[in-house]
Amino acid sequence: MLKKDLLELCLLQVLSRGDQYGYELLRQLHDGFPDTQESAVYALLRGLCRDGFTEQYQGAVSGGPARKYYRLTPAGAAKHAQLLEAWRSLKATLEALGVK
Amino acid sequence: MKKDYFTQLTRAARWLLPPEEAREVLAEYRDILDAAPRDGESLRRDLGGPVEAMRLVSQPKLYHRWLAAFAVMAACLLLPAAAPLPGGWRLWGFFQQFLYRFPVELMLLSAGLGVSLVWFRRREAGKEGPLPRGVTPLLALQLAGMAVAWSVLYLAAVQPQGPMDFLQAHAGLAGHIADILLWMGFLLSLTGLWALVQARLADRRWRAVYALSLTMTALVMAALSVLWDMRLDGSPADSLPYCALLTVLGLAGTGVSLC
Repeated sequence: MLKKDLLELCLLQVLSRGDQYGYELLRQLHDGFPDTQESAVYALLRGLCRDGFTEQYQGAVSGGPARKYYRLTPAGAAKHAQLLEAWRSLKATLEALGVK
Repeated sequence: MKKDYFTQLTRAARWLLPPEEAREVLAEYRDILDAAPRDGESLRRDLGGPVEAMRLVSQPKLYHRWLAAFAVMAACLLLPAAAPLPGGWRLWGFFQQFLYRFPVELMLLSAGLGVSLVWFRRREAGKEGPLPRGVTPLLALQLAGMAVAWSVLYLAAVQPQGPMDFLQAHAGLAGHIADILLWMGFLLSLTGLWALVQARLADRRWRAVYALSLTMTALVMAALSVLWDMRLDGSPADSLPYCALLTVLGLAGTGVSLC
């Protein structure tokens, strides 16, 4: 599983818990992967949107300007499940090899 | 610092991404930059360099398509305009050799105009802002260049003795006419190339300067062909309709480019 797949899994995992504002998504992932630049995470997010796994919409925050939010699509939910399965398989393999 | 970063980001986005995608991406990056104020060094550490950030978002297929279109438009302009440079005449001659039966100037003008009109067509409804500052003066400069080319054409055409005799009779001035035309064409074509880049980076209506520069270059080459025409049975006046066609086509294309 490449790091790209791992980051995509994390993005989809966060979105599976609820819609997120763009910057919040980047910040959460950058906090978890400090060696990965926000622009790289943004590029992945944009790629997911382009491929139809996520979609954007304009949401309003009370007292503030309209912000762009991301949410998971049905295709994104399927992709999330697929990546989760790949991650579990990798984790099981590593554990079987004694990697903890 | 944030403003500098965003300015560089904007230029990179507009070059590397299609216009609509550049707008969306820049809007999101503006939100990102506004959400958490950071100094220039922190921005570069967290987001990377502006060009690298936009390269990550760009789609190679679409970017290469833009580069191909840009190469075609630039070639249509520079192939004839580069004549005064070392090797430039040889290149032009080599190109003409394969197309000697065809009106090369007209072909290049049509190709360049066609690609620029299609590539920089308006993609969304609504009124555009005022014309960018600099477009009008550069258009005026190109028109001045065309006036010089037409003056030479007119002088050559009205001479009863033909262009070669005219050149010999006015050896002092005529010896410089070709050089003046060539270098004028080359220098004004550079402004056309710059305008092409601006059409991508700033406002698509800069393409009008490119269109007129293309026209001026074609006219200069046509005028030089008239001056150096060695045919004994021809007359410079025979070429005037062709030059008029180049002019009319170019001016029409320029007009459309401003819309």
